[in-house]
Amino acid sequence: MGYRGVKAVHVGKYLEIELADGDKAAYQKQIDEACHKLLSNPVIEDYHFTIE
Amino acid sequence: MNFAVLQFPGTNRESDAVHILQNVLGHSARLVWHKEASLGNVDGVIVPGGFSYGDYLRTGAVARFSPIMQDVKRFADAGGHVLGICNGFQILCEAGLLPGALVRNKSLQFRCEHVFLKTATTNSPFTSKIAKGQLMRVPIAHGEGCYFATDATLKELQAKDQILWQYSDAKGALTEAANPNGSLMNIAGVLNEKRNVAGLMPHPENASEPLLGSADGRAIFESLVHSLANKANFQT
Repeated sequence: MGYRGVKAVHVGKYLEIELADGDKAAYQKQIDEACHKLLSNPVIEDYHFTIE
Repeated sequence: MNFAVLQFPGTNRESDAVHILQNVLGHSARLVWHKEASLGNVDGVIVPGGFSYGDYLRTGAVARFSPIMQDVKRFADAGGHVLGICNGFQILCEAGLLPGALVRNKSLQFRCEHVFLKTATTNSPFTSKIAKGQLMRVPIAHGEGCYFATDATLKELQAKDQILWQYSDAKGALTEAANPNGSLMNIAGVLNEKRNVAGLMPHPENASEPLLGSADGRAIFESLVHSLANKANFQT
């Protein structure tokens, strides 16, 4: 298709989680655990998340 | 022997597993619904194939949180024998009871066909009655059967003799053409380190009677029954 300069293509999942007001540090810990245990499989997937 | 065959929403072929254990081999087997908290008094557990919880998120990812899987973990940790078939294999990997993971077939297609399996070790409760060098012709039916594990895990699997079956051609050669899904090292089934939990992508329960075109898969269930009856001990 003529797209130049592409070295690699990665495909993944994008999840949006809505949180109630609360302690950001506690959410950080909780979501990291959820990513590790359920939302991704660390054997085959990497994950990263940001809390806004 | 007394077997539990698990049933999740979306499970299939569970009746085939019950049929083999009950009608073909003459043992007792009952279906256990995912919401049950206890397996009851059983000698072995079969986690059958299908699309548990619609395969949402990842294959097997949701099933492992079900009430019954907590008791399967307890049972396995206590040394109980568990065999996962197809989606059952995926569930056991997600539950951390087996090493590695199953990802989308390399072809990106759902594959439904017969394959040949070469038994890599008979030093397990699931393969002890399989004649050395004997190939098994069994069907596969999956879209996510490509076995993946890190290099370190693969080395450990080899060192500890945990690879149970590999896809081969009709002559027993582990070729790329005979690999239906792109699995690393043609791996079709593996064992845990304690040698009491196993999983495989093919369906031996659909190849355990001559009427179905192959009775080769029966040797897996016979091995399991024999090992349980004799309280056989397998170590590496």
